[in-house]
Amino acid sequence: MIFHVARKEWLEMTRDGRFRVGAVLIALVLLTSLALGAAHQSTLRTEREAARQLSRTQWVTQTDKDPHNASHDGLHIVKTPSALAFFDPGLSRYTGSTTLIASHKRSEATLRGARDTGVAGRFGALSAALVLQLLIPLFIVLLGFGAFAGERESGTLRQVLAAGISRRALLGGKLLGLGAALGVLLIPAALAGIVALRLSLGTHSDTPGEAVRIALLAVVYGTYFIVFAALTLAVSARAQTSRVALALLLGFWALAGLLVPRVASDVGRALYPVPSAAQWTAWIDEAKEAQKNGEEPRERVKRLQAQLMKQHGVSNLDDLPVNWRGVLLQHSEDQTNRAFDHVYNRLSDVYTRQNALFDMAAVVAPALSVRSLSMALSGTDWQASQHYSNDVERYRREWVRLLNADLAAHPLAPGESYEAGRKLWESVPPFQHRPLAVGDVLRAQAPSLAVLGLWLTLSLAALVWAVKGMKL
Amino acid sequence: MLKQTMRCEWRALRADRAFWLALGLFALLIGFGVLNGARWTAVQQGIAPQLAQQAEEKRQENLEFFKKVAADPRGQFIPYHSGIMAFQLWPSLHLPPAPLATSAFGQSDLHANVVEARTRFDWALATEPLDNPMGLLTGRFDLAFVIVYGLPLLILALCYNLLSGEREGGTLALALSQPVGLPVLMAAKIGVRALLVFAVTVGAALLFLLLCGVSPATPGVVPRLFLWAMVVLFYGGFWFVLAAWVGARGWNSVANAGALAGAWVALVVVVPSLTGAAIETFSPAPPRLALSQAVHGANDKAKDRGEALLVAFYAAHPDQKPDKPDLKDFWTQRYAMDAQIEREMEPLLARVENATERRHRLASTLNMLSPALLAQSALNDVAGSGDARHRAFTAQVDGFRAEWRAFFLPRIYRQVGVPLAQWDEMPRWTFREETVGQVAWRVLPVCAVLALVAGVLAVWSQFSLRRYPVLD
Repeated sequence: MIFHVARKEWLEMTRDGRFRVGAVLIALVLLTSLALGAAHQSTLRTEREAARQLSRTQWVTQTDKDPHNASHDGLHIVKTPSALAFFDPGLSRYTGSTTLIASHKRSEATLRGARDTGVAGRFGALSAALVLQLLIPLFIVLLGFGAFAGERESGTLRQVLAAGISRRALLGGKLLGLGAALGVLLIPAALAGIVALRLSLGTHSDTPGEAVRIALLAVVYGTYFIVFAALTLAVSARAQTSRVALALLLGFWALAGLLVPRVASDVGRALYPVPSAAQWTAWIDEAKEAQKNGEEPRERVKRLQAQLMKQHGVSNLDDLPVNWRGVLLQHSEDQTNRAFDHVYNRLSDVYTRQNALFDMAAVVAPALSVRSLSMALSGTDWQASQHYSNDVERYRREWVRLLNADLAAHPLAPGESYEAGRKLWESVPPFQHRPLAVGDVLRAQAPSLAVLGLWLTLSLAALVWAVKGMKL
Repeated sequence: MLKQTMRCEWRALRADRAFWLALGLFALLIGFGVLNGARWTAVQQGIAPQLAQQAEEKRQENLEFFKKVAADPRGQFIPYHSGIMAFQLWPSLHLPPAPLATSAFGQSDLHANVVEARTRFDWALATEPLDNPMGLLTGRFDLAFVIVYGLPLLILALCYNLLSGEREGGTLALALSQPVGLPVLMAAKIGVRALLVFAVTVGAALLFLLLCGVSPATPGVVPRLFLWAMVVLFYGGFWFVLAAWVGARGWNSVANAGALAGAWVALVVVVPSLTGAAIETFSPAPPRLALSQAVHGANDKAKDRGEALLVAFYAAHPDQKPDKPDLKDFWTQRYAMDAQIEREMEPLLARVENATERRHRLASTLNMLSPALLAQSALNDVAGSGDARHRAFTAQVDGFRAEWRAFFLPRIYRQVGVPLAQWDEMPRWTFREETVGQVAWRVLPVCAVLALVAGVLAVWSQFSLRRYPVLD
């Protein structure tokens, strides 16, 4: 019986011109977003790969110089876009594309793509994820708001139930019919997405568990659509008229998709303010001062020189078997690193608290938990960005350590100077970043998964309750 | 007759609780948006005094040192070099918030408003402001958001069933039995709603702006408020006319609601985001990463050529050559190197600037595709948080740099200090605010485009109303 109802729903929908127009328009937007996303990511990959190679060449072919001076001159670390960024670019436009690492300071990736996209970029450049998060739920609402309310208004609901069809079968049929209509739209789009992925990546992929990520994305979005379908049918079953059902559902859609995220963002900023440029500088200065423990730089140098001489059993700096400058510079680097750890942890804490508000707001807006999961699985969320940033910082520290160690390994007589050359530059391994494993992603996304699960449970329960007590 | 019909409509609306509830809720959203804007503006306004204090402290510090050098009888200090002064005293260049900054965040969270760019390439690569990427992606809940997204929703909710509602309720024929035609009836319905919506929108915005400390006595506030109200009027007018156009089709209320919701989604969500993606894909991004790497490479090469560059400079500019030039002097070499790097970077810098300009032109053209994009760009302009004002800032930074160099470079190359008597002649940074005329020049065409589109739709609606089915 469920299949009969589903077939009837399907026929009704496909015969409706509005469904056909809506489906074609959404399919066009979805395919366009996939095509634009694939083309853009492909261009970015090519550009970044060229920049990455140039950076290595510049490093290896740089002039002979004091290794510590080389660490001052810096090295560009270029970010490779995530493979699934074409589907959900997430934060990638806002997290910078390159980091110029240097000694004595931690740097974050700069040159954000968003800075050159003008006003339109702030509306959220179109992506397949945006279509799935905003437009498909709207489409579900428009398809389903009259499912029960419309039948009740036209008097056919009473007739259908009088014909012996159980409420459960009616509900199952309507859900299946709605699902079939969506499937016609989304299954080809998903296949197009996989083709777009292959086209944007070319022959290689650097995201671990890519297939698992795609499957999980399908599950997440599938769940999200079930939530919206269940809510739509529940409201349709309980609303007095189809007009009221439509108004309520559109209101919820706008609230959940557009209003709540911005409110959460601004409440987060008000409760946990991000430091201004001046405050940020003050944080860094404070942390550096704290690391000094009140010791004057000159005294510290003297103390360290004395320690070094004692360690090597000599009474004169010139007799040291190491270049004391290299040792001292590394000591200073370690001290600065501790200061930067402190301020970056503080900043990360601010961002984490702000982001936790998005997770909390997802309790009233399921789109937020889906957005979070979608970005995370696409490798374009805050966690992925932090992971990358920490990887770059680890690399920077090792890179500086290696250069300072080389300087320390070349003791100099008074008046002598030391310059390293290509051999040292080549011995520095290039930066490698391994994206997070799927398991780590899911662990970090536990709140969003829980909220989405809660929405699924509650929406299905609401649907059963609404249909059970539905007035005829 | 129009007046009388409007009076009837006013009486009907006065008794409509949902109408007043919607207006009240909208006024509250305006208040929340203004509050967020005011909080941000207060932070921004606090930056200028901080920077002024820092600059004064630096100046005093240098002045003290200079005096010590001048009074040093043993000549133990090196002559105080203009190069050090030019480096030490270079101010932080600050773009202060515009008089009506509270009304829109615009692009201000993406563009650095405090920069320390001593060279043009530094400026092109200027560090972006510190902010949570999740917040940047989500956008801000400001007054502009309420207007661009919320105002159309309010208008559509109030106007989706102007005639269809009367027809479905059976009162349309009754109303038309009076000496009133459909165009007058429609105009009266729209007119009363428009008057109330604009009164509440402009009134609430003014009230909250005043409460949040925006003083009409501040130069530029009143004319900008006037421009802001004009944008609201024309943008809102467009949506009223669109509702009338849909209403004149003769569809039922649900179909009207669906069509208007679809138009809203298309014009406020899809087209702007599609535009953003299209700009990103089809207009090559300014090659900032390439510039950053090229500067890095040129810097490395220039380091070994400092002395040669200085010799070449003195050969070309014998008038700036001191009697006994110190060709090993670090500061003189540094400025000669910077000049050389800037010359070498000129073609790439031109490419960055041209690409940026091309993107701006394309974005301005594509903005025509969506009233939301037009309104957002105009509201950003009024608030002084748009791209245009930032470009004006860039131009002024270039001008200031030229003044700074004209003052210091001859002294740097002559390897002399700045006599105490000339300290006050040092250029000082002040941002010259845009005139209201410049802002109006960008905002009024937007209003004209919106008015033109609304005018076409209004005429079309008049024709459509001739064939309007009065009875179901």
